[in-house]
Amino acid sequence: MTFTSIALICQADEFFDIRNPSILLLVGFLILISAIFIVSYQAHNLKRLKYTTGLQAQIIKQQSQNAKGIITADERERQRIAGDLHDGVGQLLSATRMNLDTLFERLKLTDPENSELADKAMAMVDESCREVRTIAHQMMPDVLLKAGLAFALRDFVNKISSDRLKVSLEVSGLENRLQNNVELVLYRVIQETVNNVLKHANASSLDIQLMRDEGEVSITIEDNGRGFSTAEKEQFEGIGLKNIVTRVTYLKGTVDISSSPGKGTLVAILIPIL
Amino acid sequence: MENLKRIFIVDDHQMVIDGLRLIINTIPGFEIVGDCNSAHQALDILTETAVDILLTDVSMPEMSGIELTRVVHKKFPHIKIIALSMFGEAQVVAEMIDAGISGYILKNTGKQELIEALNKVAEGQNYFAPEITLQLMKSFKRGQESESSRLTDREIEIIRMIEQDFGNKQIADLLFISERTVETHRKNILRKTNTQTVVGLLKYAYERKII
Repeated sequence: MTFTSIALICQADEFFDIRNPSILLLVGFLILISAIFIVSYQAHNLKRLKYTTGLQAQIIKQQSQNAKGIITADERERQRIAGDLHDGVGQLLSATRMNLDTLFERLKLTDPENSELADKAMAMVDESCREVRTIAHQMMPDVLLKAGLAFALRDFVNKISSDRLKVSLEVSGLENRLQNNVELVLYRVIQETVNNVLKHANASSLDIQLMRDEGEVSITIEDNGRGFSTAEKEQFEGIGLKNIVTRVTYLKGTVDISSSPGKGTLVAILIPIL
Repeated sequence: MENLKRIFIVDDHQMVIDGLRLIINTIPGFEIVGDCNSAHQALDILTETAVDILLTDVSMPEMSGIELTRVVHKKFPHIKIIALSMFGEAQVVAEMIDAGISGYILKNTGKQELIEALNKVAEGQNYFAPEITLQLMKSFKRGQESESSRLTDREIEIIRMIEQDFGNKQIADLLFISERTVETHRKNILRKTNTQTVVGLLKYAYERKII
């Protein structure tokens, strides 16, 4: 036993002698191992980095797909409701109106009270028809699908423009139609922004400009209403603006809002277009 | 009364046809010679049936009233066409006029209006419901107004800043907007004033006393 330990010690002494070739071998081996380790670690890191960016891209893609899903589902739903209103309720009301017309004529109402009642009923049906038409139109304007964004906006502006609020619309570079989903989203965004103006701004003039330029579509919506301070901004942003941002983000665009009390509000939207 | 005007009705909603029948049957001088629920069917029947006036729905599945009007107007030019619709959007009305209609009425029409529309169209005139005429006039007026471009308050403010030789960055900071939005404003301003350079723009602004 002692013999072997002595032999071992001798061996160890010899081993740590720098001139011993086996220590060189060991050092070389260690360097090789660490080199391999470092390389593989870096490779791993790189992979992880790639994985993270891959994951981020995935998340962004997922988010955009979610937004797309929500927006297309939303549009499909609107289209369905507009269709139901038009084909269901609208036609029923129209037919009701015609039947009432005939019925009252056949009854030959002589009592003025009765004929007043009949007229009232007819007027109410008329009013219902108009309501249905307006709601269906807001849901999904026929003209947007058929004739495109420029026409639909012109139509929309005609409807909201009044003596109290002068609305001007400028469209340039939109001779050719944009992609269907882009048109729908832009229409909604403008509709939503303008509705905000109608509801809150108390403005007397509203300027909508839509310009298609190389690679982008820019929209500015400017009112001369009461505006808001930066302190109120959050409150303002709560109102419908989230919807606008979601929709614009879906098209990879940006929204810029600027306002101060008494100086109106500007909403500027920029969308990249292929 | 020998010369009854023959009417044919196309609408994908039977109840609307029934309602129209009730009313038109009481109007002297006209008779309904047939009806159907699709434009394709209508084209088939029209080749065999003599008709003077066609009352057609505008939005129908498969073949719309617009297409039907175009075809009927070409194949049977003697048939007068009246559009019948829930909606009266200017653009759609304009398209129907292009396609060849002689009249346009809304579906919540009453007997008085139908009498007027049918008689006028039978005499070779046109009839458009008051609401439709209003829509058309509005869109016409709008179209004219947009010819002359008006600078907005914000744009005039920006021209003033350009006059003071402010760059996009400065303007952006002053107005709390992004530089790209300033760029959009600049483009809009140049387009509206039909100028290409700052010098040209300022000349335009001075001449018109905008700033």
